[in-house]
Parts: sequence; C-alpha cells; structure tokens
Amino acid sequence: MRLWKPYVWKELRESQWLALGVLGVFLGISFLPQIMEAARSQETWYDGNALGVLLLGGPILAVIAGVYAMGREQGTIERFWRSRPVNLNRWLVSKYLVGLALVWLVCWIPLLIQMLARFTDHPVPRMADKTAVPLSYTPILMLIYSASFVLGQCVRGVLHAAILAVGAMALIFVIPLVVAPLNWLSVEMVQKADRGALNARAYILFASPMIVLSVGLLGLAGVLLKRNVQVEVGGRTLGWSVAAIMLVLTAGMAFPMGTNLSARQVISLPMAQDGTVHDMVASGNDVLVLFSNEPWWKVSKLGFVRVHVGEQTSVADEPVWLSDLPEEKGLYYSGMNVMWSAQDPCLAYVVVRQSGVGTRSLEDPNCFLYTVAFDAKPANPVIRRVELNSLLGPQRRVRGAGLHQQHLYIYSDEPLKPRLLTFSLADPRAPSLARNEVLPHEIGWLFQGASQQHQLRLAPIPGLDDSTRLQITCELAASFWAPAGDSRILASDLRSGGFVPQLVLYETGTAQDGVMPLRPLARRRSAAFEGLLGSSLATLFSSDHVAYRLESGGVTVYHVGDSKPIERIGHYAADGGFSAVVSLPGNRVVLAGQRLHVLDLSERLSASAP
Amino acid sequence: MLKALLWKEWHEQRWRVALATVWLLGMTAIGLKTRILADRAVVVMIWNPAVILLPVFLGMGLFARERKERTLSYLIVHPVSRGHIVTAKVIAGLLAYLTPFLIGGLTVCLTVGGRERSVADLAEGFAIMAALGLVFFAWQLFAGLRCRREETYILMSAIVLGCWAIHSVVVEGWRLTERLGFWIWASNPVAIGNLDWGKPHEVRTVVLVQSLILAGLGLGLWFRFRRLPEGRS
Repeated sequence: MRLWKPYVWKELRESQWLALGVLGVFLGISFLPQIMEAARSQETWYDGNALGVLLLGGPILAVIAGVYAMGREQGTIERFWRSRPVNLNRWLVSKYLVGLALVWLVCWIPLLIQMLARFTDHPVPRMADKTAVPLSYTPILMLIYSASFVLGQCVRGVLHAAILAVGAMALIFVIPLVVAPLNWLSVEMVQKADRGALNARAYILFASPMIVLSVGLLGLAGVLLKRNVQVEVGGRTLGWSVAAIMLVLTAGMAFPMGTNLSARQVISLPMAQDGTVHDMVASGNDVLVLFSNEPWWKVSKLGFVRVHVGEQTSVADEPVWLSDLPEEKGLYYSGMNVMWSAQDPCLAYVVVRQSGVGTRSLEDPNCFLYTVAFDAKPANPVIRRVELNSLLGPQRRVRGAGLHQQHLYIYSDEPLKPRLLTFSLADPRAPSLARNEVLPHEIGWLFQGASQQHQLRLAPIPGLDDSTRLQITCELAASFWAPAGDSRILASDLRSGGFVPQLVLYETGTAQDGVMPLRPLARRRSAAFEGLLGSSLATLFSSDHVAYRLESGGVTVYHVGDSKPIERIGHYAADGGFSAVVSLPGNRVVLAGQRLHVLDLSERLSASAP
Repeated sequence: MLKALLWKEWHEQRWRVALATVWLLGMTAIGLKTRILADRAVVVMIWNPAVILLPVFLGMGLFARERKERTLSYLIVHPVSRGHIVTAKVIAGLLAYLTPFLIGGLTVCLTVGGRERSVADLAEGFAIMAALGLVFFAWQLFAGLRCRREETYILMSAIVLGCWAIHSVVVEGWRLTERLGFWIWASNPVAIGNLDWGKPHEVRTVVLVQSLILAGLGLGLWFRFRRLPEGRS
C-alpha cells in the first residue's frame, strides 16, 4: 500500500469511539454542573472549567491514546499486519499523527466551545490572552503522548506499558521542576503564560525541545518496530520498579526542603487542644500571647499569657482573660491586633472586631480598641474601651495597628476610602483620638510606577524618618513584604510566574510624596514543589537580617546578608503550622502554634556568614 | 478445603500486599519525617489516593488475572464448591487490602500519635478511609467479576468510581437529599468519608445503608460467580 489514505482511514475508524467517549466525558465534566446550575438560576451555562479539564485530563488522555495506538496491535494482529504488504513507516506515522490529533482535538474542543460561547456574550480584545495557557500546555501533551506511544510499541502487555507511561508522564512533569538547569522546560511555563509573563521567545525555547524530543521518540518507535523489539516486563518487576522510583523521587524532592531545624524549647500554653494563638508581641525576653480556647472561626473569649523565655527554661504566667461581660455573651471575635506598651509593660492594646450571630450569618461587626492592664483586677483587666465604629467606614475593616512612642496607629483598608486613625498615648491608660484622616491611596502595596520602577506607598505620618515610617507601614499594612535592615525590604513577587512567588530583595530610596522608590538587588527562586505543598500564600516576617516565611505547614528561614543576599537557612514545622512569629535577642525566634517553639539560629547564622 | 484455597490465594497475593505496604509506609514516612506539611495534611495527601488505587491494584489479581491466564477453569473443575472458591478469594482480597492499612495505620499511630493529632483522632481517620476503600473494593469486585483481562478490570473500576462521582455531582447539584431524603446520599460510598459525627442520625443511616449494600454486593458476587462459564463442558 503506497497511499496514506487507507492507513489514516483504518486509524480513524479504530480510534473514533475512544475519541467520542473521552470527548463526551470532557464535555460532561466541563459543562454538566454549570448546565444544571443554569437550569435552576439565570447563570450562563458555559462558565464551566474546560481549562481545568484540559490541564488534568489532557495528560491522562495522552497516556491512554499513546499506549492504545500501538498497544492494541500487539500479538496476533501485529503478526497479521506484518504478513501483509504494509509500509511500516506509513503505518507507524499515520498511527502517531491520528492519535496526536485525537488528543489535541478532544482537549481543545471543550475549550473552544467555551471560548466561542463567551466571545458571543463578551467579546475580548485579544483572543491570544485566552489561548496562552492551552497553547503552552500543548507541547507537554505531545511529549507525554510520544513517550506513551513508544512504550505502547516496545513493552509487551498494554497494562504494563500504561503503568510505565504514567511513570514517564510523572517524570516529564517532575524532573524539570526538581533539576534546576531544566527549569525552563517545566510546567511552570503554563503558570507564566497564565500571568501573561511568557513571551514568544520563551515559548519557542520551551516548545522546541519538546517537539524535537517527540520527533526523536517517533523515530525510536520506528526503529523498534522494524527490528521487532519488544520487552517483557513482569507484573512484580514492574510494580517494585515503579514503587522504588516513586519513593526515590519523593524523598529526593521532600528531604532538601524538609524540616532541618530543631527547637531549643517547646513551651506549653494554658489553652485547650483546639485553641488558637491570634497574635504575639515581644519585648526583650518576654513574649505576650493573645489566645483563645476555641478555633479561630468561633472565638468567644480572649486571653493573654505572658511568657518569660529563658536560655534553657521558660516561665508562663497565669492567663489573664479579657472581661466576660453579660452583654458580650454570644459575641464572636475576629481580626485581633495586639500592641505592647514599651513605656509600661503592664499595658497592652488590642483592636478587636465583635460580631453577634444572626439568624443565618454573623451580624455587622463592632470594632473596639481595648486598653488592657495586667496590674488591674483580674476580673476585669480591660480598663478602657474605645468604640471605633463611628471612626471607620461602613464595612468597619481594620487592616493593622502599630505603636510608636506616644502614638498608636490603626489602618482601615476600606475600599475607596482607606483611613488612618492616630491615637495619642499622652496618658497610656487612656488613648485619645488625635487624628482621623481619609487617605487618597491605600498604603503598603508594592506597585510599578509610570517608569516601571517598583515603589511602595508609606503611611503619611509627619515628623518621622523614612525608616520608621517603613516599619510602621509594615505593621499597619504589609502585603507580602517586610523590612530587612540596611535600607532594604524583602518581598514576595507574585507576578514573576511559577508556582511559588520569588523572594526579591529591594534597596529602598528616599521617599517623595509618601512614595518610596525600590531597586531590586537580588532574587531567590524557590523550588516549584514548595508551591504545590502549600507555600504559595506565605507571610513574611523579618528581623536582624533574618527573614521568616510562614507557610501552611511550618516556617522557612532565610538569611538576608550582603555577600549571599538571600540564603535559605532551614525549615521547621510542628503543630500543624504557626500563626505568629517574634524574634528575641541572641538570634532566637519564637513561633506560636499550639505551643510556643523557641529556635536558636546562632549556629546556622554563623555557618552562613562569609 | 477452604484453608487450602486461602493458602493458594495468599501465596498469589502476598507480593501485592508487600508492595502496597512498602509504598504506603514509605510515602507516609517521607511525609511525616520531612514535616513540610502538617501531619494531617500528609496523611490525607497520601492515604486518600491509596483508598482509590489499592482496591483496584489488589482486586485485579483475584479474578481477572486467573481468567486471563486461564487458570480459573482448572480451579473450578476441582472437587470444591464455587461458594468456597469465591469465599476464599473475597477473604484473601479483604485481607490483602486491609493489611497495608492496618500496618501503616498502626505504625503512624505509634510513631506520631500525640505529636500533632491524638492517636484516637488518627485512628478514626484511618478507620474511615479503610471503610471507604472497602466499599469501593466491593463495588469493583462485583462490577469487574466477568473481566477477562486486568486492563478491563481497571477500566471497570474507573467506571465504578466515575459513576459514584457523577452521582455525587447530581445529588449535590439537584439537591436530591432535600427532595428524596438523606438515603440517596448515604448510598454513595463517598458519604463514608464525609461522616458528620455531630449528626448521629445521619451516621446511623450511612452505616445501615452501606451495610445493606455490602451484603447485597456479597450476594450478587456469589450469584455472578456461580454463573461464570469457566469449568463447563
């Protein structure tokens, strides 16, 4: 047979039911829940997650189609075809191309339906923006399909070939993420495309090796077919091999970023097992912890405990419970900020939001500034309550609070009308409102100015130098950044693409009109798997050239020095994560989870020093 | 005779049990040792896929492999009742499925129980996951009994899982529990994983419905096995 048509016709006939079946499944998963929702309400039917189906289902389909293309011919059928006057190259290439077309079509059709349906309702100016993610994913699918195609050809037994193909798929996804020199081939490029950070050159660099590898794999399949090479892999050998590969890969990824710091002390707190630490402040070797005996979503009573952290042992005082007045029964607290007076260690200030429980949801919150005196009567340590409702906007949002010398600042990030409240602490036991100003812009956000230079808007506090304002702005409204000493800040760059934001060290300039210019000094890329394991929404805290990234599972510590600007020192995890961190003298740090964990970083820091 | 049949099944399945145990324990140990995530998150991340994969992996060695290798005919023509054969296979399958869970669960409870989660809390989670996998296992055995190849058994198992996933979407999307009653959700194996101990009535309903389903599946398995064509002249 010298023509291509019969080969393609045979392949199409044999593959059509697989294609139609998978297309039906993809369409069903993409649109069925939304169609059911649309039948009940007025929502549109096409807002399903076709892209998600492509990202998850695409590789699985590529494996199935790749293995199925050659695997179904194994045995008697293959012997039959070999006995016919069939051109093996055409037979192979037609199989490859039809299978690849099947994968691409089935993946793209739900997405195209969705895009066209959306386009009829809301025309988008640039269709290219919508197709960037699937376009960048298509070469990965091609490589997975090609690897599966070769395995379907050379491994005897479709099941064994499929298992190996799943392993190959895992390697294609994992190896570029783990091996740093291959990062430019990783699936992170899809994430970059989603954020519009993938340009044509990067796309060509990403797609070309995949296409070349795919063509190479097709050539390999041709050679194996001509020489009739087929490998027999027993079930047991296959199972143990796959398990060993998975264990080695997982251990290779997990151990380098796992816990390698140890706690010098673990201090129990006088709270219930499902209690929560809401905030923590430090002064010298003393730590003040605000906690409750309930989970964070139903806090009805708050308590303070003061802990003196010694070198070897620590002492926790008796807890002081905030007043439990009859009129406050049934109220729930949220969004607490604690400040500890440097002038008088017996005084602390807490901003709280109280909400009553309505019929189906929480009622509108009431905000207060409590002044707490630890030398007052234990039955009622709150010596002053200042109602903030009338001072805040309609949503009564409080973003943060900070203390500096004689003033206490509260920042409200109300949409369109951000506010800064300034209280005078001339009498530390009776804070009084000194100023309430509506700000023209939100503070604390890193943004790019007209000249594409990174900038940071500081809190408008007159009479303070830039460094102090930066520190106060961090306490009031830090969004993924923290001061790092020596006129520098450390920030998470969310726009850099990838699963985990890059850490960027900026040098700060002189603020003009409340805007501080920033110049990037260094960047640190985190392992992509950290993002998959929950590090993407991390909070930054820094002190004395040491930065802490609080993640869902623990804390990662970085040394922000001069010679090696951002160096990872280690990781520590316990108690299911930490809610607050403070630093103590002597390179010690206290982490608050279910208990207080004291780490001593002296040795690590001296080891990382140049 | 049952003892001999159990011995045969155990000798055929033990490598699968060992492999499943090593994989489950190894992955859990890596997760719990490195402590990148909270203990609970590690257990959920590793054991939830195991609940889906292990029943398929262990189930395909029971009937499909024997039919593929044509050894089931030889087994059936022996002077032993089909009831004994199916009982031995089901018991061996259950043991093979539960052994990795039991060893893994006990090891985790003994080593990290009380570190972040209490032993009782961990044990409850393991028991629920094991029960969920057990019901999936029963459905897959029932649906895949007539499969002549392991590949077909895997496909059939995937269809079973897909059907229950669609059932979940439909029940949730059309709010069928409000219209037809809680039993419609309790019939889904996924309901075992979402037990709300604060609602004892719902827990009782799930336990009752799933017990009835398991009994029904056992009976159905027995009937279907009796009608298998192997061993007939």
